[in-house]
Amino acid sequence: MTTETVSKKYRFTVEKSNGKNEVLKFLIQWEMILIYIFITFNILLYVLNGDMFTRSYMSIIQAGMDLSFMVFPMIFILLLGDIDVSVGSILALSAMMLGLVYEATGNTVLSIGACLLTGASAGFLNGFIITRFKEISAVIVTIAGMLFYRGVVKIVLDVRSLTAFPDWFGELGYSNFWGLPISLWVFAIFALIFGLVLHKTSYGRQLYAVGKNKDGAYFSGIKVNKVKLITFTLMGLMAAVSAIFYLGRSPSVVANVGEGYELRVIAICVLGGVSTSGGKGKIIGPIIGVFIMSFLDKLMGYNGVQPAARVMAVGILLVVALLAEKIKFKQI
Amino acid sequence: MSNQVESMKSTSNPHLTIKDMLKSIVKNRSFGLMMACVVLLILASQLTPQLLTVKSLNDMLKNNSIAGILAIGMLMVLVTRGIDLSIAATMVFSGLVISMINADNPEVPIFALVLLAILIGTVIGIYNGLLVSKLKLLPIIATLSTLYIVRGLAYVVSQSRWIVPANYTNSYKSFAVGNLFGVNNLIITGIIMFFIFYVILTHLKFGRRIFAIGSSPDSAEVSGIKSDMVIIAVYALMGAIAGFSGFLYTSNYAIAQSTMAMGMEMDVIAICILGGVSINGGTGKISGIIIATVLFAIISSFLSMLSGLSIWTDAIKGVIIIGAVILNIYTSRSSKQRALRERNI
Amino acid sequence: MAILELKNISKNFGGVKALRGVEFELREGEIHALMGENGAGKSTTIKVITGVHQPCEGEIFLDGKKIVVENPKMGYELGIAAIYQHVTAFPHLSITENIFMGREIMNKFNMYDWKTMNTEAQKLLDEIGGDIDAKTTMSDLSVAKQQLVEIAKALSANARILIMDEPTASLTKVECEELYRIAKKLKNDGVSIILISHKFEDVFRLAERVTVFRDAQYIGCWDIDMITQPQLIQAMVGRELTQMYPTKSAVIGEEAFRVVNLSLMGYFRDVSFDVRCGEIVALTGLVGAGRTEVCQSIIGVTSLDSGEIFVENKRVRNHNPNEAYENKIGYLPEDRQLHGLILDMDIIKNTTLVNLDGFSKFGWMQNKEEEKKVVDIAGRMELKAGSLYDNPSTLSGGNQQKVVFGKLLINDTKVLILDEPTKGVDVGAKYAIYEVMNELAAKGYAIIMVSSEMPEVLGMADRVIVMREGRVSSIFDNFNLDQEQILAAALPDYNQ
Repeated sequence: MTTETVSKKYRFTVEKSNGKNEVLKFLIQWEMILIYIFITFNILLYVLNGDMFTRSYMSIIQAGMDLSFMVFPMIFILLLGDIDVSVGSILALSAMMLGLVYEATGNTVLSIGACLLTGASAGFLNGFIITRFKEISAVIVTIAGMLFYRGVVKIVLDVRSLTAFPDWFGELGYSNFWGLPISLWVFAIFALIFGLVLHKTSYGRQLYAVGKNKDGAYFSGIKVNKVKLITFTLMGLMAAVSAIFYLGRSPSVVANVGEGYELRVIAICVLGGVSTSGGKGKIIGPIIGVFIMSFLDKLMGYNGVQPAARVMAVGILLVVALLAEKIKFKQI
Repeated sequence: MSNQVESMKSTSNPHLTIKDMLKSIVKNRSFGLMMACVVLLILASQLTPQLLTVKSLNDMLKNNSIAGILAIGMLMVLVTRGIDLSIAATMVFSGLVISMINADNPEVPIFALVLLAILIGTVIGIYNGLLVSKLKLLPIIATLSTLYIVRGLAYVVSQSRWIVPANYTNSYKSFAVGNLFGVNNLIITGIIMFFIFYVILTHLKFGRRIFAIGSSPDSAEVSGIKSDMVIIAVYALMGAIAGFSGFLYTSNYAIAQSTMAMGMEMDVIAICILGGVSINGGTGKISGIIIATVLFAIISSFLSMLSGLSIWTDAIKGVIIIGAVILNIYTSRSSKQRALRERNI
Repeated sequence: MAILELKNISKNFGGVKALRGVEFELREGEIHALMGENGAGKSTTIKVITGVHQPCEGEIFLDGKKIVVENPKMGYELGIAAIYQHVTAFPHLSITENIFMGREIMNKFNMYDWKTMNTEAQKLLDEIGGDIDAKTTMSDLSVAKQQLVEIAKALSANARILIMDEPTASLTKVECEELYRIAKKLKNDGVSIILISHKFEDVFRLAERVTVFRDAQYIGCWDIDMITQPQLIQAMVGRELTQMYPTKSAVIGEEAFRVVNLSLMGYFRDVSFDVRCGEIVALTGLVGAGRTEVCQSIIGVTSLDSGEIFVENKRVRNHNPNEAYENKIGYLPEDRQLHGLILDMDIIKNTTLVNLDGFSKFGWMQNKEEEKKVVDIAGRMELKAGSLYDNPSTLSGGNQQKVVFGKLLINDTKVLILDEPTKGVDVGAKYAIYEVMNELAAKGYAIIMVSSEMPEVLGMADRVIVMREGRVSSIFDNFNLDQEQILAAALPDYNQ
């Protein structure tokens, strides 16, 4: 059915946009601005550190990958209008479980299974408490979760560190496949899956609906609790996936593994244009955000800025992104 | 109906029965916390007799008093329906700055350093307040960005330098070691701060405005309260307290570097939640903070005395927080049920 | 002598006329009742007097002097205080603090003088009675006691004019007596009171005069001895049925829906009724009678304490709206913007939200199918919109409501519960919605229409269920039925 016939018969059309200034609108949308920032970082890197740019381009990308897997489900959680600050602890817990099971059995499949199950269970527990007691906000539940999961790791490990892991984990962290890092391939696959899930499936539709108007969604027959439970479980699962790639890059688990990751992950999402009040955001923004973060990190690193100082740039980027969001929504 | 009137009276009527009195005490949240403290203390002193010595009590409270002091500021922020994640960073930054000055210019009086630390904290606090009130950013995200910026700033300023005990002047270090009537100075400071803010929050117009805004922003607006100014002032005070804590912290540990006290903001929030401060605003008491601080102190020192059980601290804190919140929910749900039953339809 | 006088007050909200040239006169030391149906303009009048709204036309006189009340604070300073049904205060703060908010008593160190304030507050509370401790937290009090606190607050501010907005609506008998006693005491102390109430007992026991509004207009003012209950009802509803209603052609068939003894503590008790195929049943009553609560319990938003629900003679249990849809019950919420729609999600997505399973294969959304179906439904609803990919926030109230209606048609439902379907909808769109309702009835749907508008109830319904204070008070066949009968059944204590 063409637009023409629709508009003749009815008093509305099914056209998606109004055509005017379409090009300009496309060019100044947030995702495009992120791409400009990314390109700017590339140019800067090329100009300032030409040899590094060509030699270790791939390793720059690799460096940012291990926490990137947590970005996807965090987008979902932020879309719901919730937040999860326990992901760093869940990562540590899952990594520890993987190490312990591998130490005991030497079985790769079993240890990875235990790792994923641990992550998913921890996420499920968060989601269960959040949905069972609606009066408590997700912030409190996950703050408690953060302390608790980290606490369990501390109890089990104390000052010990786990160092025995399957050999091929290193490949995940450092090897290439068809000229690109394996972790990047995996990232791309996850990006595709999560992108399609968010933008093409009924689950994705429900995420937006709940985030934009929870009561409205509930009255429309959406099982809000179920959606939340699934999303928090998914978050835990992906934290466990992150744990595997983390171990690929640094094969040792100590009690403070992944501390502060939660804030970095949230920062990437917000930078990528996901609103923390729920319902607004796309998958593409945070994906670019992941690369911006790791390039910014390396750009500063190559130019003598120490790791501890680089977080400052992250903070400034974050607050600028927040203010940009304010201005953006004021216009519309 | 007559029953209801009776129970209403119970708080003011001098002739109340013991049963009524017990009921109203048990209903009080602080009571539960206090009981938990007492039980724990008795239990702990049985298992580790050395706990009840003056020295160990001193140590126990000393190490937790800084978190307790920070919790005062966080209490105010939470009451306005906000949150501040940047306090540990602010504390470290201001502590680091004055530590460096102390190491390089020992002649600068401690008094001036403390003032400087407070000033730095206040500036950061005002910045947070502006982001939250005027620019209407979500407090949790706005202060998250501040956390990053200030942590980074701390590193940039220190240039990865560590200030170690040998760098400090004796007068700087001696503050946290010193006593007054046998009680450690940090604990004394905590007690004074608790008292000052108790007065501010219960007797000053400013303090009551904080609660009014948190209880009902709309009613506050109608009553002519300038919410934005109060919120900026609250974050500024939070920053000032964090700055001051920077001095206390560096004096206590006689060490300063940019990555210390990571995640301490969460400990402080945990104290507030346990102390009965609602994260949805409007309620919170200094007394709750005091008891929660003591409870945390008992737990952590008890665990550390039981041959290396201190590693249990975090997990237990997590369970306590969620337990306290869930308990709260059940009591409020049952009181709502009671109200409905009274409607008698 | 008149202490307060309103002359020719008009107020518009957008295109809606909330008040049209209203008159009102309050004498010193009298209790003056203000009556009218829901939406007659009583609340707006109060808001104009207290300074919440500014009148578009007309003048207000206080003690014979013309005044302009710019905001509630100014109203308070002029001695005008209002006590609303839903108390607007600081729930976490103590009674003392609520009473003295903005007028705190300070000691010589510029600190709160809690002792004096508590004593003063307690004195005030004792004066009006009710055994309230001034140190109690506001949210710990029952609604009745919260109202007493509001009264105490008004008195402490030296209010000379006290406005009580349905003060007894959620009070028990005993509490009502208490309130009557206090109101009379205040009157004897020289306070002038405007009393808004639906209860005849309130009006006839307290008031000296009564003013009636209808359709945003002043109808009349009588001494209470000069008027009877039937006359008052006549004054409140006595309008012509000007709204046109489409004729209904549905054939009423078998029973489609039945509820038996639905009860929910604190909200409603023993509610039973049935609806047949092709039938439109109106569920009416005053605000607060429990209509919406009944409907939301049927679809599972709130759980029931007891009672049974049958769809086509099959017992169903709904724990959430999703299960209600699966059991062929559709619900159109009263609050369109909050519950009915997701305002910033496009029309197509909004419409299909109620049946995502039906428009997805293995979880995969079938966008073409969605579009086709919604185009079809929007056409049937005669929706006026720029594009179906626009957000409902860009539509008028009537067209928004058509989108919500569209959501009901997406599913295979049998029973439709429509909660105030034409609320905030202009006349033209109303007619279209009535037509849709008739069309649906003709197709065999069983329709429950919750409505506060008498003409609509009489114009559309086959039967009328009237609720009063959480119970079904009467069920009428809509044959020779008039507004007086319905209102008499809805009013809490009407005696023939």
